Amino acid sequence: MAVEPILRVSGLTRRFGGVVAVDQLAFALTPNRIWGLIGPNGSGKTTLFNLLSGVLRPDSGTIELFGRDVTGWPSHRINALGLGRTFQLTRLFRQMTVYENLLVAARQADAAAARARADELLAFVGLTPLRDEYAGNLSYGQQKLLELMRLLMTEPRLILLDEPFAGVNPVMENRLIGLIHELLARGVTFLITDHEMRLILTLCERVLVLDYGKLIAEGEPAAIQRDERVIAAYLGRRRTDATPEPAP
Amino acid sequence: MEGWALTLVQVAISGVLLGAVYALLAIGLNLIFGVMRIINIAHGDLLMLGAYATFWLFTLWGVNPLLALVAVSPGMFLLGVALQRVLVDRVVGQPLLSSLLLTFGLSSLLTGLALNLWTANYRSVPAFSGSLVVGGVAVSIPRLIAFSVALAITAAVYLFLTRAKLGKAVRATAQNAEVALVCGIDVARIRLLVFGLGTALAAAAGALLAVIYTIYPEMGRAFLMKAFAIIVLGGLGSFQGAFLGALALGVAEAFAGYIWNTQIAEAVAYVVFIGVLLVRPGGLFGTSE
Amino acid sequence: MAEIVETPREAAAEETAALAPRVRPAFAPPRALVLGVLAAVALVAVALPFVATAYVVRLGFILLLWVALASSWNLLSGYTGYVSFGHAGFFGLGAYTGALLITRLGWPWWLAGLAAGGLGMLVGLAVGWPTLRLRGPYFAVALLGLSEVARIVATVWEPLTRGGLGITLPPTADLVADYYAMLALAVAATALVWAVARSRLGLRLLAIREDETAAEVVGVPTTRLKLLVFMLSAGFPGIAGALYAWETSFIDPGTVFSVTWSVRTIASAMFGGAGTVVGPVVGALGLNLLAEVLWVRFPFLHPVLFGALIIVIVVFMPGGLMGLAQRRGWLPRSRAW
Repeated sequence: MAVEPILRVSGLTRRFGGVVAVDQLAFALTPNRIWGLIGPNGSGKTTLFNLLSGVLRPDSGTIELFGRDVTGWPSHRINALGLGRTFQLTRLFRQMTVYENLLVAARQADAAAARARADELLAFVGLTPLRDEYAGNLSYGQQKLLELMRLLMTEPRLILLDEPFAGVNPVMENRLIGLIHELLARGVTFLITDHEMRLILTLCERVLVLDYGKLIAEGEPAAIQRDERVIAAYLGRRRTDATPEPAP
Repeated sequence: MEGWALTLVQVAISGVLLGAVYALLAIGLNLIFGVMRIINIAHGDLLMLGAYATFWLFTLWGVNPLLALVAVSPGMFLLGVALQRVLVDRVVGQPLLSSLLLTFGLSSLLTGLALNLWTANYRSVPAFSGSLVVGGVAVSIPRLIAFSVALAITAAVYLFLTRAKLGKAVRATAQNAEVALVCGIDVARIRLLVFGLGTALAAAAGALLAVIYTIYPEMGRAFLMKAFAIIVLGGLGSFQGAFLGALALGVAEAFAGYIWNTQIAEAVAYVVFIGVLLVRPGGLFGTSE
Repeated sequence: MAEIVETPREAAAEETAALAPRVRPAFAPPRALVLGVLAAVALVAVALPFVATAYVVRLGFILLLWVALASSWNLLSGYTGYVSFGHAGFFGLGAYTGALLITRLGWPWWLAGLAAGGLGMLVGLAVGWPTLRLRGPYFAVALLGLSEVARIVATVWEPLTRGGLGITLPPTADLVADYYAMLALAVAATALVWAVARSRLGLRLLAIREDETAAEVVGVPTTRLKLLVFMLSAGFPGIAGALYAWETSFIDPGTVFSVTWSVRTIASAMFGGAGTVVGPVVGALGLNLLAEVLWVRFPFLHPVLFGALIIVIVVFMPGGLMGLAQRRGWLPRSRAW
């Protein structure tokens, strides 16, 4: 592959007390693809997301984003560079309206442009009628959509989605997948983690597999499914994370 | 031993003895924060109430302060439970502003009541006096008594939290209230228990301080600050931290009082506070969250 | 986009229908009415010294002082959710700065006031730097402690402050001039809140209050913004302290560094509605007028009644008067209010 990676991680390590949550991790993401990130519970997926988005600082190792060393940068600067993420449990500004949730994240300093963009995104997901409702009053599915729209206001080129399908009904799931493909067509890169292995394996072009904070495999979904180490990692823990989460 | 060494030991012991009483206050404040995420600004005023209860029992009927403590603490436990049920429970889980303001209101109310009922006069409980001389080191008997009782109570609370089923439930709730709820722990009852226990501990500290110090309606504020400083030193939510932090503050105050004067000693809590704040602001109060 | 637009809109419309009754169309007062009320308030405020007795003007001075404190506190705490108990500290600092500049260096009162405000902002920057990195409860405790430290420093630093004896200022203050200065300060603080509330900065501060991590992740430079508003917020109590010292002619550490300045400021803002523009103004006027009445009637029971009042406010009206009015639909749920 001659394409320059947009994200390159090397030697990335983060400990919590005695536990090494992310251990000497090294990988690179090439642009304009849907990357999958899987691994058993506690394998370090969310910690990795927190490290990449600057929510946590690594103990050692480097993160290179769009060709710049962003190790130790605060989240807002990483976001300004073009990385966006969602949270496993949505984190909206609940006492702010749907519209305000979007405007606050606007990349544009120009208020009129920001409003236009927010209106466009709201119309796109059909939330326009709820524009002035408090975000905390939305249904769970609507909150997930809004969080993603808020993220899109920042115009990210690399998007990390932490379990975007957990607790989302099938209709909403299809909507999300459609949206992801739409953005992909416009040049955005994705790194998606989810418990629903079936979805990840059909949606993603390449998959990274974590176990105990280490990268144990990387490859095409078909190859990953047959990979001995991956099977061992899932079966060895007697926990098949491949089964979908029960809807809350 | 040399004279100066004896003095050093004497000052240190005096500080440790007082520190154990502070520990009662800090442990209660810590427990309440741990379980409810509420900073109880009225905590020092609950101490004041305990001190006055002891004072009146002693002055009116000549009740021995140690005996008074046995009556005052359960009584204050009930007051704490009542406060939790009627007031504090309403602000659990609310924005920080609500709980801070509510407990501040309570603090103002209690101080004001004490001022009106018992005047601003300084009072004391001269139940014990004199000192014990061991190997050339003089130890104040009132402090020794206060220390022994405080240590016994601290040990009892520690055993309760680590051994008793209910105590373990308290610690589980402090760790994660939601998980505790799922595990079948009656979190609402734990809150009642913890605020009652915290109040009783503060009152016990007040009863013991009454034996050592003069008491007055506005004494709570100074002791609240001491409890804050201790918690800053020892880590928020940590039992051992609170205990060791309390002893450390007691010793530091004793030395400051010996070297300079009591006014400076009173300021030690604040200096500790600022010091920790400047040295490790991010690590202040341990690493919760 | 055309292809995937269809499905989302339909599905969302179904969910919208269930939610619809909760979206209450708020009454929006006509612009003329709002301007009329504003003009009337302005007229009363400006004309007061010409028509009222000295007692009333002095009361007006004190009420405006609380408005300035509550609005400036609101700028930081109402919007970012970082509860500051530092206003007592900045107020006391301003009072001492003003008093010393006037008595020792012979500065005119207004210049001393401005200098006190400037120093307040500088100290705000210095204090905010370490403390604003702390999470909510720790920040509150830290500022409560720092305020007390300031009081102790003022008491102990006798060569400069004369300690507990306090400082007496020349009793040449002109009540009417002081009143107008305080009016200007209160208006400036409230106007600043209004401007911030309507701007993107206001939204970003609210985002910090709601979820700081999420705010960072969508590009809000939280540390910088918190520091900025903390600094702006600290300037007002600085000036207010200096004006208070000048008007009262006597200060001592116990009075001007009293935690009451912080608590009453916070209670005022919350009574009216923290995080709104109008709330803290109404709250400061209402609560302190009430306190004045209570004070005159029951001087000894004052702390008891005040404590009870605070408890009642917290328990029964956590959103304040503005929250109540906006929930009932009496006022629009607009950030401009």
